[in-house]
Amino acid sequence: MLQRTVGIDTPRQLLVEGRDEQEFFRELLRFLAIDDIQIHAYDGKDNLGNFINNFVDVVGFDSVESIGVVQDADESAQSALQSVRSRLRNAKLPVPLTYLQPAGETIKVQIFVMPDNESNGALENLCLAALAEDTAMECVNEFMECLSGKGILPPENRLAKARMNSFLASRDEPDTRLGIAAAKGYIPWTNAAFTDLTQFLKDL
Amino acid sequence: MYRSFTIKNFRCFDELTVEGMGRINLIAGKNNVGKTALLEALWVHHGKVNPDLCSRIESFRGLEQLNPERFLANIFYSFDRRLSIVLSAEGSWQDTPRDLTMWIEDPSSFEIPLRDTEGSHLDTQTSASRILRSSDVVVMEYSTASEVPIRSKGRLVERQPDHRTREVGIEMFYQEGQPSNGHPTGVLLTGRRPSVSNEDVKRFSDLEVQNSQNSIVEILQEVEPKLKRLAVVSIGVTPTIYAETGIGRLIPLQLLGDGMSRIFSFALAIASAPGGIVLVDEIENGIHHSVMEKVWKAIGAFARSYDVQLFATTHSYECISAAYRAFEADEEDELRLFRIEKNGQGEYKAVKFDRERLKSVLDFNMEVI
Repeated sequence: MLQRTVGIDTPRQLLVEGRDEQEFFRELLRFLAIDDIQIHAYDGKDNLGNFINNFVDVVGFDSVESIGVVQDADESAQSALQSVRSRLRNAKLPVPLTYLQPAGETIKVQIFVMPDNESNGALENLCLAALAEDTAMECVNEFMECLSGKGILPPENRLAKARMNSFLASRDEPDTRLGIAAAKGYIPWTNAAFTDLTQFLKDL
Repeated sequence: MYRSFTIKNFRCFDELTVEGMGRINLIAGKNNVGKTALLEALWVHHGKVNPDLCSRIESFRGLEQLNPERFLANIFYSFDRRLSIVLSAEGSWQDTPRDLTMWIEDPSSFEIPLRDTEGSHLDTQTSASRILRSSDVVVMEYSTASEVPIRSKGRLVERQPDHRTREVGIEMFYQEGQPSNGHPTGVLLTGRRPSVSNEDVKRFSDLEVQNSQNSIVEILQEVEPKLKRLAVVSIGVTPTIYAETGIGRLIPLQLLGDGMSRIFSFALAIASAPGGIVLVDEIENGIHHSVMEKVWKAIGAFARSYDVQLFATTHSYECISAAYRAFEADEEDELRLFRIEKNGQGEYKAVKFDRERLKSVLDFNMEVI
C-alpha cells in the first residue's frame, strides 16, 4: 500500500515549503503544545500553486477551517506575499490582503513570509535573529569575516544558510538541517524573534 | 463518447453531474456513495428506452424482481416512484444532448398498439397465456437534439402458459419511434457475476467466428506469457473457455486465476461493444497490483482500437496509480479519475482529476480517494 502523506485529519492546516520546514514547525508546535495543526510540505515555492490547486480536492477538505501558508521572502517579502496571494486566488481560496491578516469566513487563510514578513531571506534568517546573542555566534561571525577576508564567502543569498550551518557545527550533534536542529533543542523558541511566528500559529 | 452526464432522482442521487469524461474513466469514493449507481445510470441511459436494463440492474445487485407490486421501486431516489428519473448526457455525438426520462404509470396505461408490438421478452406463445399479475408501467422517453423522440412502455408480468408453469418477465412496446439499428452496445460487468459467464462464452464464440480471438489472447499474455490459445470447450452441461498453457492439455480458464478470468471478461466486453461503452464494477478485484499497469496498457489500447469508452469503479490507490503510469506518455489525455462524494449539505458532487492533476496528486501523495 502506498503511503498517502497529504490527507486531512484536523481542521487547521499549515503549508510550508519543504520537509525540513515541516520538521522545524512540528517541533515549534510541540513546544507551543499545539497538537491540532497538520503540516504539509509543498516542495518549494514553484510548486505551491500546483499543490494548493489539488489540496482543495483532498478527501475531507470540507472540514478544513483554517489554512496557514508559510513561504520564504528570498529576494523580496512583497513579491513572496503577492505570489502566495495569486496561488490562493487561483485555487479559489480566501486571499489575505497582507501578512498575518486572516481572510475568509468558512475557511480562514493567513500568510507568513519568512523571516519576519518584511526582510529578505528565509527561515535561517529568523533562526539567526533568535541566536544573535548566543556565544557561539561570536565564533561564527569571526569565521565568516575570515572567509570574507580571503574572498571565499558564499553568494549573498546563501550567506544566512552558511552562517546557520556554521552555528549548527558548534553543537553536540552537528547537522545542517533546521528540522533536526529544532528537534535537538538548538533553537531558542522563547526568543523575541519568534513572537510573530508563534502568534501566527496560535491564531491559525 | 460521453463528455458529461447528469443524473436526477436515480438510486441514491437526487442530483449528480459528472463533467469532462474521457475514454478511460475511473470512479472512486467511499462505500455507499453511489459509484455503482453511476455505472448503472450510464448503462440504462446508453440502452435508450429498454426497461429490461432497469430490471437487470436490480438482479445484478441480488434484489428480488419477481414482485410486480414493488417493480423498480429501488431505482427511484428515496424509493419514491412518483418522481421522474432524468438521465442527461452530452457527448461527442452529432445528436447531443441525449436525455432519458423515466416515470411510473398505473397498469391501465399498458395498451400495446396492434401495429407496433415488439420487443417483448416473453415469447409469442406466452403472450397469449393467462396473466396472473402485472406491475405498474415504466415509461421511458429518449430524446436528442436532432432525432424523433422514442418512447417505450414496459411492465413486469407473471403469466401462466399452462396449468403447471409460471413465467415472469419484462414485456414492452415502443409507443413512439424506435431505436435505430446498429446502436452501439453497452456492457456492464458487476462484481457479482461468475468469473467466466455464459455471456463471456457467447462473446468469445462471436469473436472466433470473426477470427478475432487472438486479440483477447494477446491481452491475457500480458499477465500470463505461457498462454498460447483459448478455446470454447463443451464437455459438461454448458460450454466453457479452456486455455492452452503448454502443459500438454487444455485447462479451464478459471484455473489460471480469478484475475485472468476478469481480464478475459473486460477484453471480451470491449470487443463486443465497438463504438459503445463498457462499465466495470471494482475493476481491480482479483488482479495483483504488480500487473495492473500492463493490464491498463492493454485495456487502453484495446478500448481505443474498438472505440470503446470505459467506466470503472475502484477502491484502489494502486489501481489509479497504475492507470496513470500506463497512460502518462500517451499523446492524448484520455484518463480521468472522478471521486464521487457527498458534502456536509447532503449534495453529491464529482471531483475530476485529469492526467495532469493525477500526476500532481501522485507526486504529492495526496489522499484523493
